[in-house]
Amino acid sequence: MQFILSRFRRAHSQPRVFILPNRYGYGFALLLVVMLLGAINYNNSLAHLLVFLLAAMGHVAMHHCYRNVSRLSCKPGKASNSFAGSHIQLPISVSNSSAQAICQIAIASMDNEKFRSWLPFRHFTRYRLRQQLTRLEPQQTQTLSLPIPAKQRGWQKIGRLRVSSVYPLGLLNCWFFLEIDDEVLIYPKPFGNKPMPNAGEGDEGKAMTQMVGNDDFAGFRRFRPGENHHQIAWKALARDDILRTKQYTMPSAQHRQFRWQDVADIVGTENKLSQLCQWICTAHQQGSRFSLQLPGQSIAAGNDSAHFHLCLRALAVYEG
Amino acid sequence: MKASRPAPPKVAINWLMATLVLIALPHFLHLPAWLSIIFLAVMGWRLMNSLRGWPLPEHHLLLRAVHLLLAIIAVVLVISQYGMTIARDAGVALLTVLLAFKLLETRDIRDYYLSCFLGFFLIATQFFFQQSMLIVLLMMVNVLLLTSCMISVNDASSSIRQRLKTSGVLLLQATPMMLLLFVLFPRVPGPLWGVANDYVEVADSMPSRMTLSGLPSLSQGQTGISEAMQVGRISDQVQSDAIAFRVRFADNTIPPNQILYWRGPVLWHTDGEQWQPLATDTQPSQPEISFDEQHRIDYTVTLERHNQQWLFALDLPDSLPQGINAAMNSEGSLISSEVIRKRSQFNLSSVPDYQFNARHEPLLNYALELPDDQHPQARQLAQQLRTQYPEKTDYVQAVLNYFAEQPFYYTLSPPLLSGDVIDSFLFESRHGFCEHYAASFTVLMRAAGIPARVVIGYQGGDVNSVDQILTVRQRDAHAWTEIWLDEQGWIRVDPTSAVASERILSGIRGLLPSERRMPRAFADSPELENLWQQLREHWEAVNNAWELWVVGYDPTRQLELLRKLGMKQPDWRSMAQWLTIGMLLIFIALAWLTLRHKTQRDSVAEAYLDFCRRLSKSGVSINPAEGPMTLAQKAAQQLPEAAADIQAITSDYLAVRYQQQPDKAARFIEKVRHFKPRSHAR
Repeated sequence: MQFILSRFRRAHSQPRVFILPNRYGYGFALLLVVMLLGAINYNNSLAHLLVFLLAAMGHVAMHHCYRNVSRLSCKPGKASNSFAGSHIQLPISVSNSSAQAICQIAIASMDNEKFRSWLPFRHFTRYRLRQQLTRLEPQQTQTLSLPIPAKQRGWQKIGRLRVSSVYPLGLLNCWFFLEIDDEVLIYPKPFGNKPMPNAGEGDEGKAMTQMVGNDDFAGFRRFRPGENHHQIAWKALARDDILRTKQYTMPSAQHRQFRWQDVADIVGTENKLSQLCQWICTAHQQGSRFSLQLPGQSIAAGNDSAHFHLCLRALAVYEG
Repeated sequence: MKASRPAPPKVAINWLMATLVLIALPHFLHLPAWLSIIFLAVMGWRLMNSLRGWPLPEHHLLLRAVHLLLAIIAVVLVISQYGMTIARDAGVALLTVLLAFKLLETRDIRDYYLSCFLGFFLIATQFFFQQSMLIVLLMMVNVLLLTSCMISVNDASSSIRQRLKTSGVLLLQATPMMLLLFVLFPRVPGPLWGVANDYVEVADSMPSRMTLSGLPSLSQGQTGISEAMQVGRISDQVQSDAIAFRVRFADNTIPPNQILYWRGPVLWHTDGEQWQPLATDTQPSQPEISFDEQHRIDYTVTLERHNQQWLFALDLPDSLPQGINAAMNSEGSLISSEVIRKRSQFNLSSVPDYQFNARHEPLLNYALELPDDQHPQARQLAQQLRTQYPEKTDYVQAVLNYFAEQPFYYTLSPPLLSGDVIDSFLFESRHGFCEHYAASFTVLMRAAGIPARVVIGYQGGDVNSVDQILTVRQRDAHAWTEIWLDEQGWIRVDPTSAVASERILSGIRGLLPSERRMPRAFADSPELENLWQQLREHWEAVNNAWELWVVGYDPTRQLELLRKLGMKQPDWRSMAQWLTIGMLLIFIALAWLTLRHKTQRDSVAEAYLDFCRRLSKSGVSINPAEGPMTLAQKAAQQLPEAAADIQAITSDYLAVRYQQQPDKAARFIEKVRHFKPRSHAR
């Protein structure tokens, strides 16, 4: 009784698990029917026995297949923002709550959400395999990373994931859907061959003489998450295992300015944004300070990670 | 679309190959040798591809042509061997060939599954040839391996052991459902569309025909020949251990051996050598029989398939059999309305004391026929004895005495006879078995004007002391004579008993050479002989049960079993009901078995809870929000005597849980077990 109740409670908290035979399952069923007819025709009792054994194995396989999928709990994490054309890496933590190992789980997401078909399960063909879990021992947790294609600049919904398996016999397909409402910001695809504009003269530069820059070495400071990796003092790390960043002072005049008018000669808004994106990436990699000016928006100079992402974000949501 | 299907891993293909060879192995016994060679050669090709990277047909146009050509040759060979009809042997041969070529060209998962399914089919075809317990064990092994093949294609990363374990678990958990379906699935009486010819005459596995004079070459596939009896033309009576039928007597009381005459066909016509039954059109209506009902014997016969219409009954049945459609002919033999093509069971009752056509026998003329100009010496002997003994009964006794007193020998391998077989047996060789004695006795009766006929059937049988089932085998085949006397009707006279009374009193077993009864090693001492006998009887009891309840489980058996299990009116509806209930129960049991949670015990957490419980018993209030350190401080203040223990336990707990020192877990648990705060307080 308790078992039934607990099943009932689970039904509310857990996604609904579906199970249906796949094409090989239907083939297997056909085989059994043909064999049963043969057994009846020839009055062969042992052939009956074999048919019943195979049917029973199909039944047991159904339970195992269901257990294999339904005992997997998935907790999706926070996906990182990424550039259009590359992949969103969605971390997903999977854990096994059953007494047996969970094998051969496939996690897929749909390529094209607008796909519609009258045929049942036809849309499964639109799900693309993203990640496979080979084996998860009982009571274990593992974190997978799901590479999902980042399509267009802007907000992208991750949407539905299909977690499925045909284990053990491959005759039945068992799956559940994981609805992920999180939206991920996709930055423009960085490309373009325009050279970077020269360092700007810096109208507000004088006030910033004391700002840390990247030209003259000014000493070490403890590493804080988000700081540019290029400035980590690797040699010092080898000495005493403490992450430090090298601090520089930089003359205020020496920062790069990326403006909308610099890419005015590039055709198409997306291409303009891509060029700006590429400059920003290059500048961030070099560790230089830069500022960004878009129509109706301007971001003051900076060179840390937060600034970098702020600029990319501005490009991603730009509506021209 | 086709490109998207993944290729099965090589390991999976190798496993499938090994499994299929194992499945096909028993078939090699009856398949032609060339077919086995083709099968193994094609498998070898694929194996070399896996091991050494030999090219497959798909890799090269020329190889594809070779593959196609080989397949065509194989199919043509099968057709030329078996003809165009799809029968059992041809079907199996074709399936084997098909399987080999399918595996060779297996490219993707779909081909792989098809090969697996064909493999399952090939397992099923084995039951056309053999139905022993061993073959079912082999079936289990084959299913286990084939299932692990199917797993390997879905979970290639697992080890062989894991795969075999998984398929073993599947097999084991499938067993209850299999048994349930086997017992309760409503059986449909076949055949649905007709049975291939060669399936009917399974001469190799069940030679259950009348082999009294069973010239094997003649009896193959020709019905009727075994209803005849040919004297002296065979040197060895066929000594088959194959089972003719099994009998279970009501109340397990087995009648003495000398009345166990199992009546079969009756032979009248003779040409001097061969004895034959009456032509059907000469047979008139019902015989007139009166029974002495005092000694009525009820029993159940399970008759093996013999592809004829005879039913064997204890001499003489007083009613028609129940459970099978049959009639009694004018000779007192039971004839089924259909040819016995499968194991059949029927209930009968017989009365050994009876009078058969005592007042009038319409067929007396046939019972006096003798071929002209034959058996001159026998006729002479008959005349001589008849004048000596004018009373018919005295004459019969005199002839029996003649057999007993003259040097006649009972032997299972008599010399071949030539010329006038009756005369040469009676006056020259004098070595023979039941046929010789029955035939010559009948001739001597007819020559003296006493109506006589030959009855063939079985005599005796082996009683198994374990399950009390009487097994009658082909080697128990027997022939005897019936003579007709006024006011007494047909009387059974068995001339063989005059020569070898032990044949009738204790059955044919004692007359078999000892190495046929048991291994030579056991024959040396009586204890071993006894042990061997017991082992044999137990084994045969198991085998009887297997044959009757598993192999012979058919619609009638099913109804019988369900009635025994307490079902009042078993029909397909009630079976379906019980089947549904049973399946539901198994479904629930399996769901519980697979879905139950594994409660992993955390002994450290349990010990800490225990520690908290002990503290609260001695008056420390436990606040769930408090961490271990706060609790320890509070507890140490309240129980200063136990402060050291509390501190030690807490620091161990912290070490195990938060400082990654799991080696201290055992010490921590031990300390908690001995922690007694109250004893300190006192």
